[in-house]
Amino acid sequence: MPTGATIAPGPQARPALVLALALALLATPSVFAQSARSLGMGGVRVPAPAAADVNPAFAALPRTGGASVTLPIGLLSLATGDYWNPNAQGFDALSALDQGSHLGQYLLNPAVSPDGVTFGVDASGLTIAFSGGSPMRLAAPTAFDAGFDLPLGGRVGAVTFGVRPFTTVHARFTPGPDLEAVFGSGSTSASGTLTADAVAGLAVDVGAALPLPLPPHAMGGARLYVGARASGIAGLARASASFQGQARAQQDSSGAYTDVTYSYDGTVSVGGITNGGLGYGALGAAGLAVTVPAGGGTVTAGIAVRHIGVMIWNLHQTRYQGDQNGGTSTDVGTVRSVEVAQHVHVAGNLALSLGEGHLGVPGMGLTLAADGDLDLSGGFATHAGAEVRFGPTALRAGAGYQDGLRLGVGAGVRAGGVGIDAALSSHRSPFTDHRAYGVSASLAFGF
Amino acid sequence: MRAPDITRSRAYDPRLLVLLPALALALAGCSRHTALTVRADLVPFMSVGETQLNSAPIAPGTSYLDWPFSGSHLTNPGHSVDLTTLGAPSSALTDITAFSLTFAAQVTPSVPLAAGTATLYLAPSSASDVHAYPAVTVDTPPVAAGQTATVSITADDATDASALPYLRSGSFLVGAEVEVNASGSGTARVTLTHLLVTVSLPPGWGLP
Repeated sequence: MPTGATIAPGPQARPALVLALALALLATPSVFAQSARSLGMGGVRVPAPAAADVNPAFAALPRTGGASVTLPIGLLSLATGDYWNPNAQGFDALSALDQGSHLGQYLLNPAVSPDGVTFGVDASGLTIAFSGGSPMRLAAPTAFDAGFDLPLGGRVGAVTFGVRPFTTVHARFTPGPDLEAVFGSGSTSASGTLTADAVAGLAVDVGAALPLPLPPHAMGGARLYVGARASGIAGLARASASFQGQARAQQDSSGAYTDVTYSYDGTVSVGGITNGGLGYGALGAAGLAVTVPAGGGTVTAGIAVRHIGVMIWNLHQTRYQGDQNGGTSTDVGTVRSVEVAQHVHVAGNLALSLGEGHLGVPGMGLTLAADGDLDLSGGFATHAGAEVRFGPTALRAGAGYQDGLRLGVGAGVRAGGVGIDAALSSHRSPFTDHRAYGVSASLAFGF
Repeated sequence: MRAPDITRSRAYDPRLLVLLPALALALAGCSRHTALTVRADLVPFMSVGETQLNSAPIAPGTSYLDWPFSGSHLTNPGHSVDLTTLGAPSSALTDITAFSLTFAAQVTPSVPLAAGTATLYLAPSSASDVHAYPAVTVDTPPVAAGQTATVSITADDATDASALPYLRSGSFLVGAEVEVNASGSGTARVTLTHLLVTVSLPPGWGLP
């Protein structure tokens, strides 16, 4: 190599960068919210310190199960699925979206775009029909949510702390009844609302969780735990859009079209640390948990509220309005938005855990769990699952509702302080009624 | 000769109806195996004068009922069709793999008509010589006085592949002529019921 030559990352360096990123993800617990154990139990979150993101009081529960690292095996699809490559014959944006929003799973049958789209325009109006591929779900409100966070931190005594880079994407499309008809018998008008919001930021989390002193033998030996967490949020970048639109074909008495009118109105707001659009705010969470001895085992219940707080953004906003006569864009300028208590969640978790020797079968243990999560801005999820343990092995199954029915089965094995869990689970793919099945795996340590 | 009965001018753009479903189509069109078919019936977008001829004269012997109703036999430049106003993406028009065009009209004569023929013409938008049109012809049935007969004729890439370049250009002319044979003088009422245009784009139409 000539003296003074510089080394710039080239194509040959990309595999190393990808590997480094993958290793970084592997080295960090809870990169992906749901472990293979949870997915194998239908998505239920079992009350435990590992579920402190749901209920901060869970951080004070007796530690069981150890730490878990969910493997991002969805990244394997980069090597096995050509639907990622826009230049490949098999490129499929819907498949990529489905797999990309479930990187903790390797999807065996990601949603597939339709083989054909037929536009029809006649006297009855407009019709759109799909053929082949996954059944599209566009005649009903549909949502796409994805998020990743990278919690880095620890716990000292009752105090938990950490930093958490995160990204979130929320999109909602709500068709009007007339637009729903476009995908059926046809319609001469169409309307709908689209909102989309993408945020990247950094959170600094500080929390505390501790058992409350109760009188001896109170409530049959019950123990009560409380926890709270405060998060300072630095919003590094955000892009959001909200649009409403409608179109209508005017017809005369003979059914002939005389004109088409349409209108739209919406805003696009963008900002980031590079242009002074830094967001900031604070979010809080609080929860209670209780453990009660029962039948030789333990019943654990918890309730929590999270995402309480305020976020302030300074975003550059542009408003777009128009109709059939033309459109305008108006530079609104920098707009300060103060968003209080958006996406507040109320969550409840319940579990019964029976250790070995309490089921009449030597070496057999059982955990039954259920949860519910209500998003006060709209949305509900619930799951229930069971785990049966035979010595170092475990079998799991469960079901849930989370934007459609979810199913899961799984198994795990523990040996020598490490373990591995695997699951086969299903979810409804975005924008479709397709049920995708995915394989997930987690490593467990320190149990 | 009969003057065009254009009662009003209509501005239309069916593409506007697809603004909102564009989200779905963008998703579907961003996959290399997704094909697109655009099917449009142009009749609802036409004026009364373009779709109805209430008093076409019929003389003994051979007469011609031409559409568009704007000129004499075989001199009509044809009705202009622009595929981009029907929802077809202009960037992909050159990739059109198949087309179908159906002309359907109802004819109600005041005197009996013997069996005749119907001919459909397609031409590039720049055509000036109607006789150069590739044409498809079908037989039409006899019609009793006061009765209504439907005349339907279809051209597609299988029967008239030479017209495919016209569609790929995005705009073209279409016309039709019904040849009738009457034993006496009278009139005919002609109503265009369908002018159905279908074009198919190959998989990957939404991608560069």
